[in-house]
Amino acid sequence: MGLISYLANPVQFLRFSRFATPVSGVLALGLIIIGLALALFISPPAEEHGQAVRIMYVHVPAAWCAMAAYSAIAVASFVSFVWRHSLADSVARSLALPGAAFTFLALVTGSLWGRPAWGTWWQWDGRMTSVLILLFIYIGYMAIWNIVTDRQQASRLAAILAMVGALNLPIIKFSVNWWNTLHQPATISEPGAPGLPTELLMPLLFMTLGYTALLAWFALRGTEAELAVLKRNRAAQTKPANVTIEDVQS
Amino acid sequence: MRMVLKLLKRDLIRAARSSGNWAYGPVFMAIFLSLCAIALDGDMSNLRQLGIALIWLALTFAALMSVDKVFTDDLKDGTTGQLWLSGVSYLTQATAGVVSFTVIYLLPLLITAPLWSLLFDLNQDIVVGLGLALLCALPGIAAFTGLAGALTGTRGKGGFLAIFISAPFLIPLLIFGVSAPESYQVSGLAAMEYRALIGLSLLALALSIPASAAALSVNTDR
Repeated sequence: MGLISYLANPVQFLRFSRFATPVSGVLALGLIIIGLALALFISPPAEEHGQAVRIMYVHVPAAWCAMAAYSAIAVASFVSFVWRHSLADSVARSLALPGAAFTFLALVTGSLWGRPAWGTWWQWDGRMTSVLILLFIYIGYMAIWNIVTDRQQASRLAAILAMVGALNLPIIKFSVNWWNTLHQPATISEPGAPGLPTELLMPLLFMTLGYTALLAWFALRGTEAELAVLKRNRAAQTKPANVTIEDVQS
Repeated sequence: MRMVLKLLKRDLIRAARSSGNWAYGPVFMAIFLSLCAIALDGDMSNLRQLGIALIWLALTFAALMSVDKVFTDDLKDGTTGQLWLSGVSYLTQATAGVVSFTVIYLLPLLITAPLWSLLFDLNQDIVVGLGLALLCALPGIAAFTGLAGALTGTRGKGGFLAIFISAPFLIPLLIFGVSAPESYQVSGLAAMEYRALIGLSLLALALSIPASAAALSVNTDR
């Protein structure tokens, strides 16, 4: 809580992000490179899936990050809606595009994996449909930011939509338990789940940490950019206009 | 409650004087469904299978296309703000908006829907099941469409944006709604789909009306 209220101040945030942004960027790059090396060359093919298991190292972290990004957007939207804090909606806004990209990546890699594993590119089962809905919600969320020109109005309207859309998150999480679907249920996160052997788990772990660092980099970088734009706009308002007759084109 | 009824009465009078604005929806449905039937080459065995889904789609699109009738007029001429100043809360206005949208724009769609089933040669049980499913889903459709209307405010471009915003929320209603008439033939109203539709509708009302009220307040204060 203390950290959050410390970072809520834009000046302190910029001081923090000055070193946190490059750190998360380098961390993302390094972890993803190590993870890819482990995933593509070092880890063995799985018994059931063969070489196709390597898709998992891209697919699973992407799906996790898509959900994580939306959860973060929902929380940040709540903070921005209740306390009207402009940093919170900067964070939410800058997470939307990477979140949508991760959702898209999860859908595409899932489709590529589905072909060898299930013999079909696409099936309208609970997990796939609900993730597709998540992608649509991301698009609607970005559309609101796009059409509403007044920034304060846009942030509040987008926050309302993000909070209502959070309804979809539990549906995605539990879709594999509620409906008897093609998609396999949770393998790692739940007690009593089968789990993964270490040599498959390690690259997955590296990739997940790398993706998360990438998401953090997007959030920090996007917020920095928003702050810079706000600062520039404010400067334009406070400084006297410096236009001479010669500047005006006839 | 009295205020909701007053606003509903006002909207009804307005609709009666509007030279048939409310009729666009059913007419759109008729044209859309005829086009579908023609595009499918008028082949009855195909049409019979696709009929339910096409009627659902037509109704959803017709609802979405009249989305800028829910709150836009009041937002545009400042009535929303004026009403709020005279003590009518945004929550009341949002409720009234959703109710009058249901009565004026969605009920005509619901009433005419069985008529279009003639185009697709659907049997009687399926038509009854379809009508009941539409009735169960109607509050949900109205609530989510209203939310999209309140969020887009005066910026909606003929419902295009509303489709972007409310499509993800309407998908669950569509999924259960399309499969409901089939189950009705087997187990009648006890079919799981009807309970799911009613549940989704209640959830939609509980979420969307406060959210629409918040959106209305954002759209009025500048």
